[in-house]
Parts: sequence; C-alpha cells; structure tokens
Amino acid sequence: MTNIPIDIPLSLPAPDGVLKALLVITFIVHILFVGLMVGGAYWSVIFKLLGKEDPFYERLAREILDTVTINKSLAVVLGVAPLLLIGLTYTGYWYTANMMTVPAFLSIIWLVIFAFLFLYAYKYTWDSLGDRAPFLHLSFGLSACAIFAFVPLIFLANINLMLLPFRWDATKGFIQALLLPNVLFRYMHFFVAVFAIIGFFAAIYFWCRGRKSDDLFYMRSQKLGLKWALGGTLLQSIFGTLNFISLPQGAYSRTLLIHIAAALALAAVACIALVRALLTTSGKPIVAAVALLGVVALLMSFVRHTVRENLLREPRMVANQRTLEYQTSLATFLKTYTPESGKLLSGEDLFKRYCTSCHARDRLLLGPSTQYMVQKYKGKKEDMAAFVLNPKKVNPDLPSMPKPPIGQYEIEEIVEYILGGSR
Amino acid sequence: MDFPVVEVPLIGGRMLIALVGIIHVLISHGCAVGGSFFLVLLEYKSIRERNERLNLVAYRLTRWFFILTTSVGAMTGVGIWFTTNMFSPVGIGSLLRVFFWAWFVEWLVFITEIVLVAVYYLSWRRMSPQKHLRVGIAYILTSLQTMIIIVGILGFQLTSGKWMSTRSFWDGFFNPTYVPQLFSRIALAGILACAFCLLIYAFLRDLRDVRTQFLRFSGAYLLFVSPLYLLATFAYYQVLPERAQAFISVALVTLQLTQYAQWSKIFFVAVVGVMLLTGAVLFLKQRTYGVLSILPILVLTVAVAQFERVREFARKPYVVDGYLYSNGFRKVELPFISDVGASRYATWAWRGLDQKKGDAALGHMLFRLECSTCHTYRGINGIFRKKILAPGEEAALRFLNTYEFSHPYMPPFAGTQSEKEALAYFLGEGATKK
Repeated sequence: MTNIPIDIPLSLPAPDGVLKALLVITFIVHILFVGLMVGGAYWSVIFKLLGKEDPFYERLAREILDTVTINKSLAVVLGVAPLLLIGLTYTGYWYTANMMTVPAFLSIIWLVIFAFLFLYAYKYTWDSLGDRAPFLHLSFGLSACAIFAFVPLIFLANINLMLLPFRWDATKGFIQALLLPNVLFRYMHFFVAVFAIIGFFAAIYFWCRGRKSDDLFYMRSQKLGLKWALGGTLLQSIFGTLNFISLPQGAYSRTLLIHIAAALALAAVACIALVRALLTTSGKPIVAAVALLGVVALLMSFVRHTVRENLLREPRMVANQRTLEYQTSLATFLKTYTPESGKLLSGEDLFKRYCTSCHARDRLLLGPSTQYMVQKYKGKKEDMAAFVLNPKKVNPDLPSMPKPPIGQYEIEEIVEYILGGSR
Repeated sequence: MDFPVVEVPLIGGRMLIALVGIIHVLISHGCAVGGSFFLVLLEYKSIRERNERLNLVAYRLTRWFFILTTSVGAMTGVGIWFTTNMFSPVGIGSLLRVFFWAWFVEWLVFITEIVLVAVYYLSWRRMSPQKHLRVGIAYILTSLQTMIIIVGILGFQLTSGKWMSTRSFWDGFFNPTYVPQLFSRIALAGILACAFCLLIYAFLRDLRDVRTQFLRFSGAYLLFVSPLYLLATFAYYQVLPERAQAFISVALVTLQLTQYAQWSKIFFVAVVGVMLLTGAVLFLKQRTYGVLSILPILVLTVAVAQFERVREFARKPYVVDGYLYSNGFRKVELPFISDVGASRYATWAWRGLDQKKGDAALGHMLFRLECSTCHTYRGINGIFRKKILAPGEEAALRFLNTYEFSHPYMPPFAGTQSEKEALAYFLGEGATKK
C-alpha cells in the first residue's frame, strides 16, 4: 500500500500552471534576499576579523551588516508567498516531507529567531563591546553564521524528501533525509551562490553609494564585490556540475538539458562581463552581468521546476488513482445513504445516549447506579426530573452531575424509563 | 486524513501551536499594529510640543519595536504556518485553497509594512519631521490593513456563515464574527503597544527626565483605548454565541467549561479594569511604579491567551465550522468512513506499529489517526489520565458510543464497530495501567 496522500477535495484558487509560475517567481525573489542575508552575515564576520589589520575591512563589515538588517527582514517576509504556494501546489508532498522531519523542521523558527537576535546584538554592541570584549562581540556574529549554515540543510533535506515519495518508507527522520543523494551537493551549490550574490550586491550597492563621492572605500568595496561575484560564478562550474550529476534518477529530461545549456552559455558571457567590469570603472559591464545572471537564475529556477515535475510524475499518477478511488467510493456511498434524524427517541435510547457514560444498572461508575435511583426516587418522578433538569452535587466523593443537553420532555422519558422498572 | 502522525510528547501539538501563536499575537498586535499608532502619536506629540527628549523616547522605543517585530514577530508568523501545517495539514490545506488570494494580498501588505517600519525607524532624524510623520501614517494604514485581512480568515474558521452553501470567497471572508473581532483586536493591539512601551521605558534610565510627559501621555492613551477594547470584545462575545453559546450549554459535561465561559467574561472586565486603573494612576501621578511597568503586559499576555483560547474552543469540534473536524475528517465523509472503516485509507498512522498485535495495534493506530491532534497519552489532556476511562475497556466503549452527545466539542468517532472496539481496548488498557 502506498502512503502518498489523497488530494484535498477543494479546487485550487487558480490554474495549476499560474500558481506554479508564481511559485517560481516569488521563490527567486525570496532566495535572493536569503542570499543577501546569509552572505551579508558571513561578510560582516569575515571582514570584521580581517579588520584588525586593515580599517577598510572593519568599515566594510559594518556597512554590510547595516544592509543585513533590512535584507533579513525581507528574506523572511518574502518567503511567505512561496511557502503558501508550495503548500498549495504540492500539498501532499510538501506537508508529508515536513511532517517526517518535524523536530528539525519546527526548530527552524527558533533557530532563525536566535540568529536574528544575535545579529542585532552584533550590530548594536559594535561600539560598546567591539573593543572591550572583542571575542564576545564576534561570537554574536559567529553564532548567527553557524545557524545560517545549518538551517538550509533542513530545507534541502525536506525538499529532496518531498520529491522522492517512493523512498518515504525507507526514510526515517531528518538525518536519513540528509543522506538523500542530492542534499549535500545542492547545499554546496547554494552556499557558493550565496557568496556570488553578496559579491554582486556589494558591487552594485557600493557603486551606487560611491557615485557622488570620491571616497576610495566605495571603489575598493565595489572591486572586492566583483571578485567574489566572479569567483562564486566560476566555482559553480564545479559545484553546479556536482549538483547536476547527483540529481535522483528520473529527474533528467530533454527540456532540462536545453535550459541548462542555455544557462551555462549565458553564465559564461556574464563572467566575461564581470572581468571587464573589474578592469574598467564603468558601471555598464556590471549592469550587463547582473542582467545576464538574472536570466540565468530564471532559467535555473525553471530547471528546478522541471526536476520537480519529472520526479513527481509517477507519484502523482499513484496519488490521482487513490484520490479517484476514494472520491468514487464516497460518492457511491452517499447516493444511498440517508442520515437518521428527526425521529423521536424512546426513553431507553435517550438513556443510552446521554446517561450511560456515567451511570450503569448495578454499580457505581462516575455516578450512582440506576438501582440506587429507583430506591431513592420510587414514586417521586417529579423530584427526579427536577434534579436532572438542574443537577446539584450530592455525594462529595463523586463529581457533580452536569446538566444534560435535553429538555423537560426527554428528561421525563428517561425518568420514566429508569423508574418504570424496565431495567 | 492520511498524513504522517505528528505527536508531541507531554505538551501536545495544541500547546506548541498556542505557544508560537501567543508570542506572535503579542508581538504582531502589540509591536507591529498597536506600535504604529502609539509611537506615531507620541512622535506627533513630541513634534508639536517641540520636545526633543520625548522625541528621543519615541525613537528608542521604536528601536525595540523594530527589533522585536522583524525578528520574533516575523518568524513566529511564519512559525504559525509551520506548526499548524504539521498538526492540521488537511485544515490548513483546505483554508489555503479558499483563502489563498486573501493571504497573497496580506503578503503584499506585510512586505509594505516591513519596509515602512524599517524606513520609519531607520530614517528617524534623517528626514524632516513632517515627512517622517507621513511615513508613520502610511505605516499605521498598512498595519491596519494586515489586521483587516487576517481577521476575515480567523473568523471564517469560527463561523463559516453562508460559505457552506455558496462556497464563495466573500461569504467566507465577511462572516458573522468579522466586525466585532476586528475592532476588538485593533483595540487590544493599541493597549498592548502601550504596555510594551511602559515596560521598555522602565529600562531607559537616561530618559527619566521626561517621565512626567511620557507617563501622562500613556495614562491618557490607556484611559481612551481601554473602554474601546471592552466594548468591542463585549460585542464579539454577543455574536460568538450563535454557535458557541448553544454549544456551551451543551458542553456542560466538563463543568469547568460553563464556569470557564462565565469566568472568561468577568476576566475581560477585570483586565480592562486593570488597564483603566493603570491609566488613571499614570495620568494623575505621573510616577514610575515598578509594578505598573510590568503588570499591564503580564495581564495582557494572559488576556491574549484567553482570547485566543476562547476562539479556538468555540470553533470545536471543527477546524472549519461545519465542514472539517479538528482531526482532519470532513463532516460529509464520516458516515462513509464508518461504513468502510478508518483503516481502509490509513497508511501513516500504522508506521512503527506491529499490525500483528491485533486490537492493541489497531486501537493505537486509530488513536493516532483520530485523537492525537488534541490528546497526548499521559501529558496535557492525556487520554490515559481521563477519569471516565479509568474503569477500563468497557467504560471506554460506553464512552465511545455516547460521547458524540455528551462531549459535542469532540469530533465524532469515524470507523466501524470493530474499530471502535479496538480503540476502546487500547484506551482501556492504557487507562488501567498506571
């Protein structure tokens, strides 16, 4: 028996294709800001360390950290739409994967909260602690970076698990999900991209800031950013390849290969533009490289999307079949089913329904036995009915009886049944 | 109905959701929404009176609000999605399909809000006061919009209104509890912001020189907003009854519940009383009392927990009123499941159980499938600690046969007679074993 969930029987709020396109687009924006957040945090720590020798790095670390304040908030908020969209378009697969690794998955919330608070502590104690207790101060930044190194692993484990429903049976929890073929290489692929993204951002950000200034800081930061951008992009020839060849069986298709080839060609042109940007002071090559790599990102996201669709093709067939079987059986059943309602219940039925969880005939449960009631109320039907209508605590050892959710008529029927001696 | 079973030992999934939810409501209502009016008003006052120091107070308070909103507030917001997904995949999955576009618009508003709160805080002193105040007003408007949208969805869960027959988005959104809940939440947000500020101000020792002005302002603010909160919450309780009250009178089996319902109303009056008293003392005396810095936020934390709990309780036994039960079964499919058996479509709930063990394993599987959303084994709301099951299997079966009527806030049992007996066996075993 398969354990791929049956689909939820409500229609999607828009055509599937529209929602998936929206997923791809909103995810690119989200991951861009995640890159700026993670890369920025790493830069602010790396260059703070280098800053002991060279004040340029100290200033760079600080200025980048200022951008992290906004970028990290946007990273989180921007992540909400792709989170909803993936839940909407891959409901059974996404939820199931997360539920299989639930402790790790839920720890993301608290880990990221701590990372953010560490970053604020790092930022706001820069002057007060930076000189007095440099290790403590740095440890704030380092802690945030350590968390940022771990959290992507959880997401990557889950996203891989989601795409491999036929391995769900053999996978128990987060650690085993980490060992799925594509997780580790994709993690490296992600981190190299993060450093390229922050490099790009720094190049553009400091270029903008330095346009009206002759402060050499901006020029130097811009060049440094370009170097990281170029280095990161070139390194993808190794890590991107590793990521590609480690994709699970069934992920590849012709469209996938065509898109990857196109992306590679554009990335190569972007690298040439980056080299030119490094050699000149003009902003044009930077703009060209950004535009080209933007298209590369779009193509790569489409590649990821194709991988998802390729891998889930078979599982979907199974899920659709299960859903269809379920829906048809349900519909057939409901055609002949008539709910029981509106008929008057006898005293016996009422007694069974409302009283038997606490009262039995011959022994004490949560309340006294009916034999006891017969002794107590023989010939005093009205008294007993009045009691049931408004119960009071009688026996201090037992919980007081709740007022049953029925009216005078039903109560009289029940009393009649109990005292009538039919039991 | 056939998702992996997520069991949280001892505290249970509900408590976990509550924990994340309450922190989120405190921050999102108090700092993000309420903060917008309190801080912008304070800034306006400081500009009009040309009081630089008071302006600095507003700025320093804004810094804390900014930090809390963008870290704890934002992440617990995402956290609510994460946790509720884990414990009600079908519920959240269904809500998403109905309300996706509302949430999508909400998302756009959130982005705007985060950008505005960042601009508002980071551009303080870099912008002219008039321009900065305009940013503040834009921030107030967007944060109000976030509330306007989310309340529609929360209210829908409680009172689905005409949606059941029309399945129309707007019928679901503008449901019967919409208006009073919206006003109640906005007013709550307003008071919470003031309570947060009083607490933070107690730590801003270098700004004590303007405490007369600040505390007088806070006092007046509380005196103005608290009655609004009382009125709106009262109106909310008046609308809520359409189901909950009928339901409360039915749910008398756990006697605590009626007392609880009464108590909760009295409690809200008391909360407003404390706020008014705090407001009056601050307004008249303008002195910092340690207790007045911490008491409002503590009382409001309990009030928020109550408010959300009443709401969560009132929607029982449903996740979506009249449509989907809290354990993920749809109302319409229940008779079908009872006919063919819950085991027929269950896969995940079996995981790790030895099916050869017969009724014990089947009962355990059914417990996971149908009960574990709300019950732990021996922890909070632990099933084996229920007095009513203590006598054993027979009592458990009797309970399962009748609880639909005696405990109407629990989803009815879905399954065949032999499945019911297996569950009774499992419950009886556990309840008698100490």
